[in-house]
Amino acid sequence: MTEQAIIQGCKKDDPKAQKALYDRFAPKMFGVCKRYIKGKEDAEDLLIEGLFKAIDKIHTFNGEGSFEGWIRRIVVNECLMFLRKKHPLKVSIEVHPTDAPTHQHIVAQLEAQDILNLLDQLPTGYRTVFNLYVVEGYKHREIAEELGISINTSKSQLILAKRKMQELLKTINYESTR
Amino acid sequence: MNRQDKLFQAFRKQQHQAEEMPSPQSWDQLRKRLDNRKRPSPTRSIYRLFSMVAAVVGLALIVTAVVNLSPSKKMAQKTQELPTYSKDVLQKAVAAHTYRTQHQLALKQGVEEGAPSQLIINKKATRPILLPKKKDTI
Repeated sequence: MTEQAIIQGCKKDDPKAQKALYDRFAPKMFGVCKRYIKGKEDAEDLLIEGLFKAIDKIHTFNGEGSFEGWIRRIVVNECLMFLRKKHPLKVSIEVHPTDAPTHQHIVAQLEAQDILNLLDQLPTGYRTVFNLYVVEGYKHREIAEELGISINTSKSQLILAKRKMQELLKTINYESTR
Repeated sequence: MNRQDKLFQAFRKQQHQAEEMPSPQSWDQLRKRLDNRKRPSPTRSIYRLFSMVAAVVGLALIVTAVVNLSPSKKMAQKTQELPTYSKDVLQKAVAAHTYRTQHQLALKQGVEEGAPSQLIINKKATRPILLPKKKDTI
């Protein structure tokens, strides 16, 4: 079933189209949820909630932009709402941005699951900002609005997240092969 | 492109490709939620229907009560109420009404002198002058 057929079918409440949407997007969106949420059960609940909202509100999708991006945004918002309830991200730690040394060659060697394991070890605030900035491509202004924090807090959380990530990379002994 | 950007790109690329199948029960849960959304329970529908009917009836009652109890309506009712009259009084009233009507008509039309009528009227008079009927003379 093509993406367009899925969209049209879901608009008509066709169960086959709904299942096709689930089959196509659930694995990717579950990956998104697991990046934000540590517990598998919570991540799965948020996936269901996100996909339910996507199907329920599909008539609001006007066809502009990517459909996957639209669903991803809904799922990410669900995760952020969950985090806001469970882990208030109000801590402001001012750190001046510096170009810290990075391990890009190491990251290239890591598997997606390894990165997920590393992200799991980050504190919630770091992980959320890191995900939004690095993976989703949000700007600091957007992150600040979504999380209800200042732009400086968003920047400092990202820097701390990167530092923490580098420490973790060292501890798991991912040495440079170059 | 600096080293940070490259690191971020590597992360982004890997994470956008990352996929993991959720448990098989998750589709069942999602389908159940979608089904519940489509078909609300019959009890809920009946309850909603009764609520709507009750609301409409209640509103109608309130409107009726307000209209009936308004002061203007009461006044109108009082003025329309007719007193009960005895038969004689009613007959007299009818006779008076007929009499008045006839004379009003006479005032409008006028009656020439010598006309076969009980009523002789001056066209300029403001009210009719009643004269006894003349007896026929031989």
